[in-house]
Amino acid sequence: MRVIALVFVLGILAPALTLADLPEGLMPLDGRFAPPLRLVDMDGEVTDLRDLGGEWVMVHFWASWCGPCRKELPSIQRMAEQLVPDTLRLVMVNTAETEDEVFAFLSIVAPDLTSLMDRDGQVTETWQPRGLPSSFLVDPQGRLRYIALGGRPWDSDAYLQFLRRLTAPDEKATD
Amino acid sequence: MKFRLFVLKAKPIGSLFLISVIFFCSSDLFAAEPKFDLTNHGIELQIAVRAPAQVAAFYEARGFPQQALQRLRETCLITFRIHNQRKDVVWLELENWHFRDAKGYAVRRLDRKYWNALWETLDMPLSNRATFGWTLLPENRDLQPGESVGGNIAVVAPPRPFTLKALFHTGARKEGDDSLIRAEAIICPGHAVPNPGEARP
Repeated sequence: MRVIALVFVLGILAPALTLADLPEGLMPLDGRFAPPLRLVDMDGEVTDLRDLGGEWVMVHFWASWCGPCRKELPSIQRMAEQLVPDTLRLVMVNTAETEDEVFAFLSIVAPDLTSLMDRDGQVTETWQPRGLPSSFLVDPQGRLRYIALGGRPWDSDAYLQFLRRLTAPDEKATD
Repeated sequence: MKFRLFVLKAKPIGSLFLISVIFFCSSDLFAAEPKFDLTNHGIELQIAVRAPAQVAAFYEARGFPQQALQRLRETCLITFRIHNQRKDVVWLELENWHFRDAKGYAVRRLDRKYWNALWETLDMPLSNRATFGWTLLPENRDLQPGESVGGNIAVVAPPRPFTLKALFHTGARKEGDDSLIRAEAIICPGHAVPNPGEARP
């Protein structure tokens, strides 16, 4: 009976997406719950990660002074045009800059994207990304599943296919 | 804008680990930077030493208080980018990096503890502290295959050229061979006092 239960549990937990399926630069995480994230955007609209439960969410940390961010944001915008919000939710978090800086930067680099404002940088500090830029993929249960190592080509076929598979309703992308 | 893009294209090495757009807005300053691009056993280490005016311009544009800017001008900020081109993990551990002058004396590195204490003394806004923190090179990082990391290290500016010996462990459990990268004759622009007849790199 115990063996049957174990097999059942392993079957539930078996990853449908293996390491070999991951596009280059994406690293699995241990599935711990995502830290709290409740911030306002430039218009004062509040976003709370808890309200996005039940959906896959990409949480992206960035700053205008970071060169790789400048390079990556247009690819995030192109990815978002295809996948957000039907396939994936996108939560962009600017780290410790002002509205003026963010507006001036985004309006040139990725005008269709909006960002939450981590004005004092404390939410970013809690999440501890591996530097800026950094993207986390949070599963519908609110667990951290993947982190992107630095800037990535999110609009490439490899990433788009991965994200579509990851978020497919019958996909079990858990560890 | 066009000018910035031109500079980025003209300096491909610098653009890869661009810490600040503003650093690149002054081509005169950038051209004067001592730069290194060193590779050993698949570990690439790029170094650019920043002039005090560059450092101050970047942080001033981010709204840093004058007292903080003054302290930053007095230090030597060196920008690093490390790229792991290997197939295994490379360990960035700043405790294994040693800066020494020609006589073998240690050049003091100003770590996060130092800066956090200073910002506390100056009552610097949290946003400025966060920005400064994210522009520093991490103290520790398990660099995955293909991963890069960039950021600044601050040292007490020595008046003469100095050397960096950067030791990296490799392998997921540090079981691989160690790799040592040595950068000679680093100079802090604006702080250095050249000897008569001494050639700068």
